[in-house]
Amino acid sequence: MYLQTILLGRTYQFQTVKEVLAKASEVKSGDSLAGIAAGDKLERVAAKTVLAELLVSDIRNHPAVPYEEDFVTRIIQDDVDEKIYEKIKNWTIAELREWMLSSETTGEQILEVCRGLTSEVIAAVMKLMGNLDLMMVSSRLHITATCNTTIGGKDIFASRLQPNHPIDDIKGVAASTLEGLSYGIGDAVLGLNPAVDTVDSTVAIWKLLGDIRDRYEIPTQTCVLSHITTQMKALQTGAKADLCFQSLAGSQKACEAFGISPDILGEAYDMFLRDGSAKGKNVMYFETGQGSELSSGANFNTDQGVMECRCYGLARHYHPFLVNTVVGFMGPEYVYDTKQLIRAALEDVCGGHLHGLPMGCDVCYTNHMLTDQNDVESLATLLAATGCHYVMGLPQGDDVMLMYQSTGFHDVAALRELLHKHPIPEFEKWLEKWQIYENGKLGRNAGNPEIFL
Amino acid sequence: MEDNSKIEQLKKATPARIGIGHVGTRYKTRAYLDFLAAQAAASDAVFNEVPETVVEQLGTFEIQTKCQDKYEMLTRPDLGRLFSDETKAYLKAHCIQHPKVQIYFGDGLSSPSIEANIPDLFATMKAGLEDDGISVGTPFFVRYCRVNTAREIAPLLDAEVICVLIGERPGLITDESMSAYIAYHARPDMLESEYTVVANISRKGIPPVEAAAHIVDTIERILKFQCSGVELGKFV
Amino acid sequence: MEYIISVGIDIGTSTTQMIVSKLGIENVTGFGSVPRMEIVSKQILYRSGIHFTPLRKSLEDNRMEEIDGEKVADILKKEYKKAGIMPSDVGAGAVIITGESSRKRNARKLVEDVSRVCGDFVVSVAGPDLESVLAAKGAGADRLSAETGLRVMNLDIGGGTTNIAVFDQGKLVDTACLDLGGRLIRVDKEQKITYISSRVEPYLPETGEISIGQILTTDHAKAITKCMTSYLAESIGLVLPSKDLEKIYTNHGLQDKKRPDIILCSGGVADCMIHSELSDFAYGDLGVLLGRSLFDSGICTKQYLYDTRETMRATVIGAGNFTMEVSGSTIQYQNCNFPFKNIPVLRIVLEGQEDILNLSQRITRQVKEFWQDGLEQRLFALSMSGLSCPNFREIEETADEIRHAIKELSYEGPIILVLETDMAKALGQALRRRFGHERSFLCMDGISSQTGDFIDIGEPIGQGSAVPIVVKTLIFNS
Repeated sequence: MYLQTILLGRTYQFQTVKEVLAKASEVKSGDSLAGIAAGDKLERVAAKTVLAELLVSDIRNHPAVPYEEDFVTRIIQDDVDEKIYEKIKNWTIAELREWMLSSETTGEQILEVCRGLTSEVIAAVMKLMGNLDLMMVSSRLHITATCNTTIGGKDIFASRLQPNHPIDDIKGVAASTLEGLSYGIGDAVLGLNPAVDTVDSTVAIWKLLGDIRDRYEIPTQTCVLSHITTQMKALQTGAKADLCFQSLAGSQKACEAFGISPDILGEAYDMFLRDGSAKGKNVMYFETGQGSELSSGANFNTDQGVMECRCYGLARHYHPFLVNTVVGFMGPEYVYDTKQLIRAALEDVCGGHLHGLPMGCDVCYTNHMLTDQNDVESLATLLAATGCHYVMGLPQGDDVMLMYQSTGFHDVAALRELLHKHPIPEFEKWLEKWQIYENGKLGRNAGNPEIFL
Repeated sequence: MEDNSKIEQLKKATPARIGIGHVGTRYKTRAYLDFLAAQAAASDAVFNEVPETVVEQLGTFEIQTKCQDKYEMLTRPDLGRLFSDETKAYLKAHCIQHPKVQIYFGDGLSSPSIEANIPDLFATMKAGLEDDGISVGTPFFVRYCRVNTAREIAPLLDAEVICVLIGERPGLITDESMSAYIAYHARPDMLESEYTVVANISRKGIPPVEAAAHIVDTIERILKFQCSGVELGKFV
Repeated sequence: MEYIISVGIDIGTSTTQMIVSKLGIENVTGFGSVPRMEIVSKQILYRSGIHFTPLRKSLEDNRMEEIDGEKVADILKKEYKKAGIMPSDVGAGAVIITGESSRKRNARKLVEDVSRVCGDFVVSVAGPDLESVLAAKGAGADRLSAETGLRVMNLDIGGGTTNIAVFDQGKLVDTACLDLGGRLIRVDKEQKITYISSRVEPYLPETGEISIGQILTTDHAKAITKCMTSYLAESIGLVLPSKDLEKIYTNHGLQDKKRPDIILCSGGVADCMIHSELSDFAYGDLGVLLGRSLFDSGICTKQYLYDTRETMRATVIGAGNFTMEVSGSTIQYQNCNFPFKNIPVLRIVLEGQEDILNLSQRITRQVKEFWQDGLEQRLFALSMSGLSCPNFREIEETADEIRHAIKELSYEGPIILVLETDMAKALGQALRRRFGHERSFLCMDGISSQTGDFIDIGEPIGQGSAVPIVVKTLIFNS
């Protein structure tokens, strides 16, 4: 294992695999804040050069956190398909990259090989990829998952309807939901972030969203994004929902800060399979986002790209229906500007896809980042072209509860039209019935929630 | 005449931007410009400086954290809580020592929140606390301020309770919102959960005078139970 | 979550019922917010049997009947026992004397009899408009209207009166009350007439005179109920009026005859509509036949008829579940002897800076006028619309003006301020700075009330962050 290289006459010596990975990362303010980023651009390239010659086994054998100390590491390592791993463990990361990009390689083959890779390896190969490399790899992976409907599939671009309200007012949530439906939003999920994390409010909003789904016979699924333990208690009251939500992090310590453990995740997964209202077998919904480990002091000197990938390694253990990165929510300490935002989002979606996950993205920003709505629109277009499974749909992209901006109802409609994408088929049929969509585009009733009243 | 159309009823139920129509798949011009204006104001609130004249009008003086500019403030939370030795000496020289309650103001993520809220917020807090015989320290303004400056300032001035009134991350509903972070015996190694927080203080949220009255009560409780944050919540 | 046990009691012309419900009150705001308590759940724990209201000969005029308060109290005492509650458990609710009987002279005595058994905190409310609103809410008309965005009318057809309330997009827009009900005539098993209300007269002319002791034939009774049905259809604007409708108004008719999208029926007569198996005079009155006549007329939107949540119990559910409010975001109080009951409200306009200038004078004048009316109690609550976002100076000036007025009036009772906008705590602390920590006062917001209203205020909840309030308003009656 060589951790040294000479680049343009300068010698670069790295101490650990972890250091190589961190310094090979594209610029993120979070890695600088953690004090692990490359000192300059050339050092970054030197790290990439070293990384290119490391073996898959070198990376696997140096997990971000030791196996004995961390359940995320254990889940990732134990889930590796050893037969596949044996075949590719001596590939260099450069070889892995070229094999993935080769026209001869199919998406099925890539997904197959990735079952033999740890999350660190997947993160590593992405550090040798430019933005368009990430998009090319991501776009050829076809991944589906089934709750009440099936997400994924050719030319499907779905959306989560996010009808958040400052105090979870039932009428207010209903108003945003009906408006969103009238733009063809909500085929991925009708999913609300509650302002108050209580069993009562979770039950009340499950009921509201479930009633809307049933009253208008909408082929979709529902979810309230309260804490997983709150949802478990809510399910025990006899109330119903389709999906169980939780935010994930990439280390045990960071997961503990989120109040989750493998026991809790496993129990919730079983409960929702058994007692939830989903028809299919994929009942989990996870959110992630670069920087959450550092923010809870649980990054173990690992760069946020690797940590993010470890979230996907944890996620794939529970066969989720939806996973999305909330790429621009953590703040400029972690993702500073448009350039970093685009890079992080492309890495996250590609990384999730390589883990076999139906991967969406909350293409978003807070107002203290150097970004604006044009950046959201550009990035969402890149992601839609990449085969990102879904994005968020908010009223004009503005979240009035969490105080950040994301993709708007109109943006989803525009991207579908621009890139010839469609909602999930049965949802599109439903939209056609209400003449919200006509001939695959926004129809005469688009944008008119009064049709539901 | 009140517009009672169904769409108006929906719009009344939420501050979200619904019922805005569309042209093709895109926004109408009015809605587009409204959004741009709100987002521009929110962004400006973060990146613009609090004018020195505003600090003068508050009748206070100003100190600065170790951050040199907005960029550093946004990317280096570690520097945004620390002060140079000169600044610490200056602060000590210009403030009452050992106040029961030390209140100060920080730009945080919204510069306009200072001018919009502090005059009514601080006046009401001071009147309320002093009426109950609680001494209030010398107020001042901190530029490039993070909440955790409280951990440095409380021990420096030996304040029993510290309260920083600091600009919140602006949203599109208002760019003037601020929060109060209050802690009992704040110190560098305190836990985040030791802060008691009152958020959403603005003309469009909790009016400053009402928020101030609530904070006065909260500080009295903190002094009574000698703790803050999650611990305080345990005392019903 | 905190719970308040609320009791609803409906003493109607024909029946007396009670429900016990549990109102859940919770802080609806999240971390870092100023708490705001709201009623978030309403669960009915107990439904009493439906008792015929016991009547007796009036003590003052033996030709008249009146409700037998003592027997009603006996019924309720037994029902409390069955429900497993003590009067001291009850934190809110209402006794409501509905229909014809509310005009009976012993209503006041009746409420006293009932209060003795049911607990001090149960308040008494009456008045046809409020009854209409409570019945409609109990029947779910407001919710149906809010959910569908439609104009929904509820007809609560009881023994003596028909209470009407109209909701449009969830908002109350109109009420009315008619002297029209199933028990205006009563018969014995042989269909011999035992009682005739004076209010039945408008429905008789075409059908011929009737008298006590006479046999009421089914055809004759049908003619009367048909006449009632046509009056009802006209009074709610379904057909053009041909009759003198004023005659059947208890207080007034609907202000706006705009046709509703949905008509719900509740009350005892509505219940008769559902039960087609009943014999014509099953309850010894016109109820069954009136129900059938209404059903055949198609007035009630059929698809909703059976959905009315609890047909028979709409009013009592309304009384139990919909009379209490919770004060808004903040309150400030000290040295108050809760609960306050039947506090008269005086409304002062306080909306802008200019309203503060002569506030003291206006308060003084209005209170003095009120005291001149010779009401026994001097206690009052000041209701102010409130400044939308007052600054420190405005709060200080307002408190100064209030202090001035209180001094001018030599008023020593508790100072009760009811504000609409979020400023109660700031104003309360400003008052404390002026009056010291001993003087009793209560400042609350988020509540709207008018001169002529009476309010009840219960013990603080949510660690003192809110108080339950009942505003007894005579809606549209002013």
